[in-house]
Amino acid sequence: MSPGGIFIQGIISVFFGMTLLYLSIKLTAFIVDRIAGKAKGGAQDDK
Amino acid sequence: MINNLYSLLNTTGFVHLTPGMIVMWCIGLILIYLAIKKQYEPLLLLPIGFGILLVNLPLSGLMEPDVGLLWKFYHYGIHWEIIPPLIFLGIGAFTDFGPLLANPRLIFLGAGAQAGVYLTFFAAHAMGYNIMEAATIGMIGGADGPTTIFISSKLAPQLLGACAVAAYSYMAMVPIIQPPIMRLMTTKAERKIKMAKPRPVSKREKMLFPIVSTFLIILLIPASAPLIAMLMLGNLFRESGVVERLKGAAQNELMNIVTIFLGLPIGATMHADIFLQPKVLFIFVLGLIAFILSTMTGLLLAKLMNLFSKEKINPLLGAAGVSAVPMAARVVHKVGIEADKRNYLIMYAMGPNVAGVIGTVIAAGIFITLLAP
Repeated sequence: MSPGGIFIQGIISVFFGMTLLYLSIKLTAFIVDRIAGKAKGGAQDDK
Repeated sequence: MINNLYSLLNTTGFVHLTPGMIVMWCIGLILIYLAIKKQYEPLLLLPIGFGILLVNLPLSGLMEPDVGLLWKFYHYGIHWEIIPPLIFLGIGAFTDFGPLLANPRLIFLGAGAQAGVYLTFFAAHAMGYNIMEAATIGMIGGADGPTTIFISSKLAPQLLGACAVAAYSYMAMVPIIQPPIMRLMTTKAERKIKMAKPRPVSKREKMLFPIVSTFLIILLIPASAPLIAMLMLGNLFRESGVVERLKGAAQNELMNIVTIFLGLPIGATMHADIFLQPKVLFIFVLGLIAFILSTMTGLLLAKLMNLFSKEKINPLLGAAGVSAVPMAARVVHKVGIEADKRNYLIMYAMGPNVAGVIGTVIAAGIFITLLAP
């Protein structure tokens, strides 16, 4: 592969990887919030 | 009698000394001086400096293949890719990804700084280095010693010593190199931007992050597996809260032991015949350029993000995208404080700083995927 190709593929892959990580952090936060919310709601229902 | 005396003299190192070896002694002694007197990355520069002295003592045979002690350290520790991942285990055990999880968009600043790596790769190749050497040199811009060593051992072992010393030297000089660039590329008003209060991050999120990110990054770039796996395992030790002994071992005993076995053989790769060549010495110039470019691209990306977001980012945070943890974050904080005494940026800067570690590993993984024989 040419240096130009590596340059472009490298930058795109780094940003793609970071975007995936960004989305996974957001998704994890959302799921954890939902679980925590449900647990809290459940606890309140029990009361 | 004279013949016997001559033979005896020939078995000593004195008659085999070369001017190049004496130059290398001076370089080794300078590194030891910087480590002791100036405390520049002493944990590594001290053993590296001593390794340089040892390998440039004639007839010592310490780097003789299959026989020499330092050759064994090098071969089984670095060439077999054991020590850099173990260093990453320790880094993971030390790293708090909380600031990154609290403000996930800052992760892109860790990617922005990697543009400097690729720009330098391009420049180094244009200057006549072969493509694998150029990739290794570009990696210095990531400001990540273990990753630079890891990629160098795979792609350009002949440059390992120079690249490692350049990476650690420039990491130690972050407080000198980065502030002028940061001031040059930002206005005072930009440096005064206050960041929004970060959201609280739960323990559960911190625990899930190393697992989820290990899956994602290794699935995307399998070549990054050794480094990312160890980094995230160390972090899981830390965040799980149930293996305090393992966390402590990764942070202290193991980290200290592998640091010794990393520094000495790196120094030992710097024999006068290999090191004192214009091509190798020029790596220090290119490494500095890589470092400057990475800082600049991080700052530029932060400014670019500000064009599209309602909540402004202090562009200084972009400079923390190089992965010299936590030095780069501290420098961001210091430059921010100069502009506004009440603007505490350290916790925000740790986000792109730890993202930079991940970004550098991804960048290295891509080079290895595309170039490794």
